[in-house]
Amino acid sequence: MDILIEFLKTTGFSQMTLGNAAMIVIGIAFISLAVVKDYEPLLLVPIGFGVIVGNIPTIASMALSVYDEGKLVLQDGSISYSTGSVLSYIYFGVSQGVFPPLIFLGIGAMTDFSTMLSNPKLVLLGAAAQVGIFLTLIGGMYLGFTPAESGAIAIIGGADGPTAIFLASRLAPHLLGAIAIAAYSYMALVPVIQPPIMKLLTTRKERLIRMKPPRQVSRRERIVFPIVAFLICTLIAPGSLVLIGMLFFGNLLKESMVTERLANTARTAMIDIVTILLGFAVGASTQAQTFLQPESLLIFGLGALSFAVATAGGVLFAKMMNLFLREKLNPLIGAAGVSAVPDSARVVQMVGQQEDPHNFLLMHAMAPNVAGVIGSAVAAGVLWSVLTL
Amino acid sequence: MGICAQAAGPEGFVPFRWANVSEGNAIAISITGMVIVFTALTLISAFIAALPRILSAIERYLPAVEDHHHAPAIAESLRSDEGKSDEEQIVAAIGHILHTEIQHVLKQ
Repeated sequence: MDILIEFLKTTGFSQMTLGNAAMIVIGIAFISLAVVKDYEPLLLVPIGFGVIVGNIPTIASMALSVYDEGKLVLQDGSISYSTGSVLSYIYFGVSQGVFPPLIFLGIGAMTDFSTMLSNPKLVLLGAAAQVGIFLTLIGGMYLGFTPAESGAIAIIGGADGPTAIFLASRLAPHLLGAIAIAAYSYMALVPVIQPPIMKLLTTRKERLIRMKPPRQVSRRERIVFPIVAFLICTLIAPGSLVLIGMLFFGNLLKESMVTERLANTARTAMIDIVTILLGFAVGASTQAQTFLQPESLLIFGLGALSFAVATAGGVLFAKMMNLFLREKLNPLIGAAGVSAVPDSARVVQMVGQQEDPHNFLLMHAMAPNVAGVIGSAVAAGVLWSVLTL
Repeated sequence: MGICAQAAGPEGFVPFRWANVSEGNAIAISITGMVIVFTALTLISAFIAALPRILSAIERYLPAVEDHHHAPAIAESLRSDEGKSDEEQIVAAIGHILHTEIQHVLKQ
């Protein structure tokens, strides 16, 4: 009977806190959003299930949670190694920033830079949308976060989950769970957050602007671009070396057309495996005890602000460019500068077609969209370099 | 440390204030960061704009070789045509036209 009572004390039911229960409900909400609303299912299902797994109360003496890392233990004068939990080894890829560059490799192998190469001025929209990151940095410090924490939070505005995780693991590992969840939540909510801002900042006449179809880009251009763009970015901001390096390496694998097998693996099996592990591990790291803190709310608030400012920055910069251009841009495409590939480009297409069903903006929006990926990686490199000096 | 530490400290929660921003050089970092991002992407943009001209200049000395990686499919189809006589090709063309016409009539 005593054994049974002792066992019952170790069950999840007896140790469950209100916070754990709330987080499990959040996990279920993520899965529901993915299944019912089709919001980023490839991310929200692993993260949602990870949240549920991470909030099952564990037994203190057993290494089960992501935070139970392997360590050296001094006992009776001898040193022994206590193995960590299985989840901690998966989480290692997140905490040490291993997974994000691998995701970038896959993104590079599936990204077609042709539309950007055919209309180089659209690259600037990818830079303008990074304003959200840098304004949020100021907001973070104003709210009392340290510079490093503010930088890690601000990168949420880049709307790039892997970049946010990478920078958070470097600058503020203790905020990693909240930042990752905020970044991926806002990426999933791109179709909800962006359209009102886009409509608010543009007139109907502007939304109706049609753009010239992109020109044909030669194979040579597509091969030379990743090498030179990599050199430009990393020589200016060496902190972006890992992310930008993997992005352009993946793209070279694709465009060289002599490594089709490698490119194919990077953009299919490999990115899928890493996404599963990353999403699940990030979800499992959101234990109520560490996640349900006042600062998590502030992180979510700052993240939303960052995302909204980034969207507005892209749209307003496109409008400003129109003052000097003979062939006008549809300012809606500026919103795609926040990365979130390819969702923000899809949102641009959707909002554009609400005004004119025969206006196809997707191809044009992909240019600032992929430029935004480069821009946010460079911004992450800059923040990493400057805030760790 | 951040907010948690501040909240736990003897002074309690540090109120939102601009001093945090100025002490952390937030504005200078933000402006510098934006300038660096814009510089990098402007250089990329300028390079992309110049790339067709650079490549056409290189083309004079290093003409682009045929894309042999796409070639197999075309070469294969050409090779498969090589063995066929003109007669077979004419029969194939007539067959194609007949098929198209029948489909057209059926639709009507």
